[in-house]
Amino acid sequence: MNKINELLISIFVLFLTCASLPFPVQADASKTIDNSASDMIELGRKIYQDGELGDGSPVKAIVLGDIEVTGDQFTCLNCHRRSGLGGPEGTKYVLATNGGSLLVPRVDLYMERPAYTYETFAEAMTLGVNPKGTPFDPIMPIYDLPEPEMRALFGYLKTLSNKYSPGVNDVELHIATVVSKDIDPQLKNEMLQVLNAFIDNKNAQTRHEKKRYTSGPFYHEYRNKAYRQWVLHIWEVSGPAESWAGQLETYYQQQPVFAMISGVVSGDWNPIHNFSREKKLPCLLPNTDLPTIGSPADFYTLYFSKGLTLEAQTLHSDLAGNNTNGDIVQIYRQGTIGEKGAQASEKVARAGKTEIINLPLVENADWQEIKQKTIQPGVGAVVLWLGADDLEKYAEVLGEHLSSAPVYVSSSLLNGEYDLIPPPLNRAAKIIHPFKLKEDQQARLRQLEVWLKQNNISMSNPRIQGQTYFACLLLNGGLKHIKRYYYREFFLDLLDHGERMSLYSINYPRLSFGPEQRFLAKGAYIIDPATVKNHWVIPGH
Amino acid sequence: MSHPRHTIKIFITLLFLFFSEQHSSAAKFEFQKSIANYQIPDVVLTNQDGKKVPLIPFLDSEKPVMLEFIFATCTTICPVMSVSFTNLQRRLGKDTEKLRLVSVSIDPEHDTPSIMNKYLNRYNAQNGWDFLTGSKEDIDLIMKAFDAYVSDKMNHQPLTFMRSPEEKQWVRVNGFLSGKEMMKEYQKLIGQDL
Ligand code: HEC
Repeated sequence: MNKINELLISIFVLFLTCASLPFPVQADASKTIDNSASDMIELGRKIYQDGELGDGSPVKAIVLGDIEVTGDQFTCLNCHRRSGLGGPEGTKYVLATNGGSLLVPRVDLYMERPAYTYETFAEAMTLGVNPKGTPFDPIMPIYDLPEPEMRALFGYLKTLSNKYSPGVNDVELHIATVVSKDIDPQLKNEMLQVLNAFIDNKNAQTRHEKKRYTSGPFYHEYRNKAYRQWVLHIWEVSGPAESWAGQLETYYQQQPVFAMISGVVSGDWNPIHNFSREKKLPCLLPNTDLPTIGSPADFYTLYFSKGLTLEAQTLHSDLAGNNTNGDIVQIYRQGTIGEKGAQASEKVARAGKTEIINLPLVENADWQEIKQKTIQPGVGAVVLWLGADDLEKYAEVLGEHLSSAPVYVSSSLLNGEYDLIPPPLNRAAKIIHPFKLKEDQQARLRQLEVWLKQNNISMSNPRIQGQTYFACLLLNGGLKHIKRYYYREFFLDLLDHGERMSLYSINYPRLSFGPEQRFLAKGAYIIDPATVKNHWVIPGH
Repeated sequence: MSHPRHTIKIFITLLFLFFSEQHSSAAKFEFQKSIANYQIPDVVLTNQDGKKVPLIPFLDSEKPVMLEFIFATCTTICPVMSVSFTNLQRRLGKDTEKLRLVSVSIDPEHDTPSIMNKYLNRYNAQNGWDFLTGSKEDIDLIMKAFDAYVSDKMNHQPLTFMRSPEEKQWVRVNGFLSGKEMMKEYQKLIGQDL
């Protein structure tokens, strides 16, 4: 192509570009944008997180020099993360764009610059250069924003991660664990022993490290590191679940915490889930089979898995895979978590076209009648959402009369201990097992046992003890990399990059981490004793 | 941006960027290109519609192929790689279906067909662009075959693999290409680089 052509085209391109460049506040823009400070910050948040302008249209940008991007493809959030602190990503390093970083000079050798002002910020966004004139890596897009939006964005960034989150000061880091009063005291104790022992060990180590670094040659470097004493608060809730939010609020007012960890309550985790979202308070790996399956925007609570919903989805995946015909008969004890399993299964089934027949057990249940209903013709499958005692009773009436339809047993209701399944069920029933297989768990369990022993705890409940211990490891792992940036969102951003932690998982197989991934384990095993085969199922695959 | 001075500055900068594109891209776009032979493993993957896709014949297509490893919840790297596929399809217009674009998930347990479908929609993917998932074991085999294996998906590299139908060998690009450079690579694949 000759130079003249190139010039003509470039003038044309420039004409188009400039024609689309936003000029002084458009008349209708002033209508949609209210100038009150909080509305401006909310607009800034929408640009940053949702890629939307004030009128709801997508933000436009250019990446890699000449590639158009719109706000519904990706936004600042996708790179700079929720905290705005960015961080390393493969071969790239995303600089921080939170208030605390933008408003102070960067003195590092890399991308050194003075503090940003609104003017230099707007230049950086539209021209792709920092205030010192250094051009950005071309994966930082160039943005085409009208001035009110640009101001709103800058206003939002100034508020983003600009002061430490509550629950942490120079010497202490407060964390809470939630328990409900009606929980089995032994279970509660099993969890608390692990939490206390882990924290005691951690604090002993912290005292040691502090001594070393308050005088040694590394004093400056380490001064702001995570050497704070952890303080655990036990938030016990009681009474109806609707009243828990108020009780948690009272605890929080007395002493705000940086995060919630582990925990165990009767019933749904939902009241705590909502509290975590409203308070923007991280909640790490509660011991629950009944998590809240909310929107991906529910950023603050991280679960091991979808619990009984995962089991229900796995069950129906397996049924569909085997082309099961006929009714699905479910047995559960009324008012127990088995009922929740049956309900979850019904919800999944409703999406398909399977017919579900529920047989709730009440006091003095007629087991003969129940048996009849499970072995009569037309039954496609039998699902036992039962604990060990009820399984025992069902097995007893069955004698050797197994249903010809496949029978499924929930492993969560046995705490993962499927050895408890009595004969003849143990020879025939398929087990829905959202945990590691016993043989894959041995090495990690032995390590846990050694650690428990060192702390004078006996291993009485591998599930609750293993889950709680892993939650502690994750908390510790996140805080190790937090440096001096005690922002809750940054802490969770760090955990999203915690893939390597899956190596240490004791109870759950194949964890995967990532932004928007709030359930770490994605699948469950179907263990089939008849064929001695284990089948790994990921619902939706 | 309401200042005329500001507008002129943008104008000049754009002018500068345009005329110096060749030059500045050499300075800013860092990528390495190499040629390699890869032994594709005999595995069957699943695409965004839940359809089974045997990988060997899929890549042994009569069309030129570009392949990348991404995952749906990835930050920074994958969004940019994907939008670069979007851009290429847009530039190709009617010819889009003459090129096979393949995104392989390196987070296969999370990336189910429905999630992959949403992802492709988000990037306005046209026919000819597939997103593949599979068992973790098979995906590991593929990553290893392309010398792209990472045990922690967060450490992945921005790799694009390209092959023309007549060639056994793959072009391996590590880094990001501008839309224009990507188009040039495509033209080379179809033997039209002038
Ligand atoms: C595709 C990823 C990506 C997106 C999307 C993105 N950025 Fe960036 N941003 C980066 C990278 C990478 C850097 C560092 C550039 C460098 O090191 O040259 C950066 C740098 C910056 C800087 C410079 C910080 C400094 O200290 O000089 C600011 C400010 C910034 N981004 C703000 C934003 C805002 C606001 C948005 C959304 C409107 C956004 N970025 C969207 C990747 C991105």
